[in-house]
Amino acid sequence: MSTVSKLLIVIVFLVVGSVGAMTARQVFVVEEPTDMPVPEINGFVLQQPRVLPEFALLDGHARAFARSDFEGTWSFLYFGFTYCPDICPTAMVEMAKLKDLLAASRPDVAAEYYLVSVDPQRDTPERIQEYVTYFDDSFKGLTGDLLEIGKLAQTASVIHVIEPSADGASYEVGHSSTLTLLDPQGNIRAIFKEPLRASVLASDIDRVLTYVERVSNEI
Amino acid sequence: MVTRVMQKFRLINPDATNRIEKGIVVGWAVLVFIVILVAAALTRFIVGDISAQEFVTEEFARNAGSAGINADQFTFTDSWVRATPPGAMTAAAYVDIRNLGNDDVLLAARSDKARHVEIHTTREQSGMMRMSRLDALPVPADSVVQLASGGHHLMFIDIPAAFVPGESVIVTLVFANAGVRDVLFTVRDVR
Ligand SMILES: [Cu+2]
Repeated sequence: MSTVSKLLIVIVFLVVGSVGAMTARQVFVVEEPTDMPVPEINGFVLQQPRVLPEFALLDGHARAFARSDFEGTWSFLYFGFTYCPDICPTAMVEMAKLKDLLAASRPDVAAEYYLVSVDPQRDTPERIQEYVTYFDDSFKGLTGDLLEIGKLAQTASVIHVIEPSADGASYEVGHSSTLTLLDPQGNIRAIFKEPLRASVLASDIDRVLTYVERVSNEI
Repeated sequence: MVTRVMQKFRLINPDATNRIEKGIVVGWAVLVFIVILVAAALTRFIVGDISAQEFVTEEFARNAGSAGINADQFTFTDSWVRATPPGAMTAAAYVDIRNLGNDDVLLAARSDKARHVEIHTTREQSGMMRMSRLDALPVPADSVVQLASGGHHLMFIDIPAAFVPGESVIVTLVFANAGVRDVLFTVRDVR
């Protein structure tokens, strides 16, 4: 075979290869969903915003707090209880750090931070108020009827139990240790899992916010 | 005064002056010696006790709970209590227990800063974080058992007062074989 023939074969291969690659790319792009890719986070991003049910709770000043009170700003909810000496304070500390990180990285995003009690028998509005404000002046506490709390918790995929201890003198409380993100319409957009670390949360939340902004622009 | 007494004796019996003088000097010396002895004994009685206490405290701080001057099988490090929010009824304490002796088991803990102190562990169970009481926490030979946030902790239940950062708290740990150890914990604000 002459050098010219070899060269021609190489060129033909190159052309065919390029066309094939471009076709494949087109096919691939066509098959790809037009939706924004859901960001990978330490938790779950909800593709469809989850609407909260109506509920009636009390804030730290014993004032009525309803679903509509979440509207207007982004909200972070942590479900826990003030009697808890280890997991909950750690989560509250991380939430306070998160607040500072987000205030610096996303000053455009207004957010409120809540501790929702899963132990309302011990957590009176007064009790939860002094507890949350110890971690940050702006933090808010929610408590009230356990059934009402259950409505909110269930929608946030939070499970919680109250179980008498072995001696029957006290009780143990168990709860999912997650952080729930509500959009300014009061709908759940993401749930962050343990370990809740402020630095990881801040970057995850940044990606969730970007995702939510693009998705809402597409609509 | 000595001179005046001697002068009196001289007037009465000048010949005996030397011997009497010597006797008086010796007498006074003995008296002073006795006074010094009594003073020393009193000082030891009063001050000696305080310095012994100081010694114990220093030893206590240095060895954090060692039950004597000799090296203990246990070393307690990073012993701290989480400062409590106002109104708190509970608090958590953490410590690293190094055991260079034989296998042992931590059975209980006591402190006058709480009605009860329990050994707790935090575990994840069916999607929930729960803490539960341990009846015993094994502390095997040649190991370090960590009581740390998210794992085991000493749970102070029904605390009469808040734990203020910087404050020291003595916790008595009860081991099955080695007996009791008093460990000094420091209150830390980790907000
Ligand atoms: Cu506990």
